[in-house]
This record gives sequence, structure tokens and C-alpha cells, in this order.
Amino acid sequence: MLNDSSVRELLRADFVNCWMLAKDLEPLAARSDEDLARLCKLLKANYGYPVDSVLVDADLTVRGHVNVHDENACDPASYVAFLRKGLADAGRTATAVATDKAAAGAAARHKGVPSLPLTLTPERPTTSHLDTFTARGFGQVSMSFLSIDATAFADGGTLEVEVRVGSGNASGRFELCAPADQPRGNGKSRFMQPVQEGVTVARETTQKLVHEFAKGDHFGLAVMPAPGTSEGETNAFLATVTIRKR
Amino acid sequence: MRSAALPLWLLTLGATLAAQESMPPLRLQPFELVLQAHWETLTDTTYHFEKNFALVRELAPAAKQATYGASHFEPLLPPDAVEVGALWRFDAAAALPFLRQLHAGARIELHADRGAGISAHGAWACLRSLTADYAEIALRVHAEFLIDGDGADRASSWFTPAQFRGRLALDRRNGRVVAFQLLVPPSRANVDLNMHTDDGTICDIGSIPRLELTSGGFPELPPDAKRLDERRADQVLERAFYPFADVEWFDLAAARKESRATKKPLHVVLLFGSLTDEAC
Repeated sequence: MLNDSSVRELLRADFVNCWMLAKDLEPLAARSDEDLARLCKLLKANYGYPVDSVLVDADLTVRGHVNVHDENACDPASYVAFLRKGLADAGRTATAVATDKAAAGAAARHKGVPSLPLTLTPERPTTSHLDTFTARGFGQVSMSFLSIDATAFADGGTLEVEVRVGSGNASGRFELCAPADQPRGNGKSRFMQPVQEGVTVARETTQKLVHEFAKGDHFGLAVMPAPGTSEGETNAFLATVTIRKR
Repeated sequence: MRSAALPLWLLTLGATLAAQESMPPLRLQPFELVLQAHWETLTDTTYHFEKNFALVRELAPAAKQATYGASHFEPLLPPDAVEVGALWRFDAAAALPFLRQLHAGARIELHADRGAGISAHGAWACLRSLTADYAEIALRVHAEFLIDGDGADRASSWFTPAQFRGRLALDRRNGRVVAFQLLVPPSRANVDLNMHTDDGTICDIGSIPRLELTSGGFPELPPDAKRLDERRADQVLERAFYPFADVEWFDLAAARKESRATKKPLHVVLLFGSLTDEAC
């Protein structure tokens, strides 16, 4: 559950993290100053075998704990909720809000909920989408597809997608796709194909993809981990999609 | 000056690239390597299983000495030519022939997981150093020993080391593995024990000072050999198994200091064993 990207982002941004053997608490307390000894005692009082996570505010107020055997303890969404409650109780606001939304989007997708197309109109020519990508194992799909509805721009325009990749380890590869016709029997079928070379976006960097189109249509953004990404590595990305009328 | 230096720079870069491109993948020729096994008694347990269970106390290598050939080591090598620092996954089952020299019950399924996704399965390797003559590979494998029973829940006993770390030196001139080591890194809590009893399964954790297969005799590399620092190689392998290891983790005293300075709350994970291995 700690491997979940939303959990990691929250830990990285809003907490000071420590892991230790529970059996070391007493000896550490015995050789520490009063402040650290008090912290050890608080942790020991809140520890349950075999694995327990404890949140302690900077003023040494315990803000909650969760045991690995608690219901849903291994569910990333529950762990995020536990961390966020601890922050709220401490009177702090999560700075890793973005990833939280990203995790929600990713969770919805993993549950089979198709992501809605990003619909742009002349009245609302820009929108953004926050999500995650993950390098999955052999035989598992690592690519996701973000659909962009630009049918309201009947006379065409310029589609710009600015992609910002988060602070995780993984780099992302992004391909802007447009419909193409493929002859099939007596007729033809339509499919999405990349309109330019895929763009690799490294962590904490931004790149822009641009495509001119002659008439309103559906487009797409293919998102995948960059080549060389290790299995399990993940990152968040923010895609800001803008259409400029001709 | 600039016009004279530029072609030289280009030439140097070109030569480097050419050298990298022509670096052949690591390949083996027929050879034999003898590995000695060492298994010392478990210590520092919480519930003294090594005293209470003869089965634990009497654990010893299945074979003190065994001979391996190129086919045993081939699956551990990178599939293609790689550079120092490269990381690749290999089939953990390739480690089983070695681990069975320690115990016939070697398994890679990690019984504690039971499909929950809480265990970090598998095996990873990384190229630690490379010279014209030698290559050295660092390995990490997660596996355990079924020491009693048939593997079924509530009827089996398990000896689960935190991890197995490997080191392999290959002589590139003759395609022979000239030195190999596979061991459980010593630490205060590096083995998890699950023992089946009439009253159910009970658990303990302890430290094994030495559980190792070794050939001995690793070659000295020249001081200018391109190599990955051992600590960095450990990190690379650790993060391959546990992506959360890239979050900064402090010891408690440092964490307390950081929390006071930044006012951020502490998130402390307390365990029976280590967070970044399989001994808990």
C-alpha cells in the first residue's frame, strides 16, 4: 500500500517519515533526551503487533494510528484517508492535493469506469486533466488513452496539450492522436493514430504537443511510461488541453 | 583554438559511443564453479524459537558443497548489452537451484502474501562494474524455505529470510563466472519464522549471522574501473522491489528534529522486522 503513488506523494510532501523496529523503542528511550524519550513512549503506547503506522504532530500530539490487521489497512485509498485525517486534525492542509485527484481518477479507471472525454468548446476552449501512469508487468496494459472532444470547433483550429509530469521517478511518453481512415473491404474504418513522434517528458518537467486540424473531430492523448521505466514505477501527470480557433 | 578542439571532442565522443555500441552482451562458455554452503544458528529471536524447536536449531545446508555450470548462471545475466548501473529483472526460479543447496524446501511464492499483494516477489539484478576483462553483477532475490509440511496453511512451517543478496564476477575473456556469492545480509532482524504447532501457527523473528553460498575469491578490479558504489547498488535493487523506498525515511531522532523544524507531522511505521525486506 505504501507503493501506491498517491500515498507516496502525500508522505513525500506533507510528512516526516520514519520506520523502525518496535523493539528498539525502549532502548532508544533509555538513551535519549526527555523529548525523544517521550516520543518513544507515545509510539510504544500506540503500537500494535506486528505493524502499526502512527501519526504524531510536531507538538507530540498523537493524531491516530492504523494497524496492518485493521480493516482496509492495506487499501491505498483508506491509507490516504488516514493520512489526510491526521493532517486535518493537526490543522494542516495537504500540499499533495493534486495527486489525490489523480489517484481518484486512476482508481476509477482501474475499477473499469471509462474516463469521460475532455470536451472543449469555443466558450470553454481550455481544460485540464490530472491522472497517473504506471509501468505494469509483462502482459499488462501500461498505456491509457485520454479522449478529447473537439467537435465544437467545426472550422478547425490548433490543439495544444501541455503536459507536466510529477515528482515520482518515472518519465512519461505522450502521443497526440488523430483519427485516420483505413480502407476495409468496400468501405473504410476509422482508427486513432499518432500525428507526431511520441514525446518523452521527464519527472518535474513540462512539454507541449501541438496539432493543427482542419475540422472539428475527436482526438486523443496516449499516455504510457517512457521506455526504460521499471515495472511498478509510477508518476502523476497534468495535461492542460487548449484549442485555439482558426 | 575552438576549431581545433571541437574535432578532438567529437572524435572522443565518437570513440566512446563506438566502444559502447560494440560492447558485446555478457555471455558464458562451459565451466564449473564449486560453491560452499554456510548456515549458522539463528540468534536474537524474540520468542526463542531456536531453543524451543529442534527443527529450527538444527537447520543446516542440504549440501555443504555443490558444483554449478554455465546453464545455472546464464539466466542471471542481462538479456542484452548493458552499462554500469543498468537494472534488469530475472526469473526468481533461476535462483532455486542455488537455494536448494541450502534447503530442499526453497520456494519463491512467499507464503505470507496469500494473494494479498503485500509481499515483494521476484528477483532483480544490476551491473555494478564493467572493465574489458571483468563484469560484476549485484543480485537480490526474495525466497524462503518450507521447513516442514506441504505448504498448506495451518500445516506448514516456514523460514523466511529478509532477502538474498548476490554477487557474481564474470571473466569476459573466457566467459567464466569466476566468483559467486549468495547470502542473507546480516542484520538484527533478518529471518521471519512461522512454525506450525498443535495450537496453530506461531511466529518469531531473529537474526542469522551467516547463511551463505560462496565460491570465495573475487577478483580485484583496477582502481579506475567504472563501478557503481555498493550502497547505490543496494538502493537501486531496493527501489526495484519497493517503490516507496524513494520517499525519504529518517531514523527517529532525525525525524523528530525534522518535524520540529518543518512542523510537519511524523509518520512512523513500527514493525516487528524491516520495512524494506520480507522478514516481517
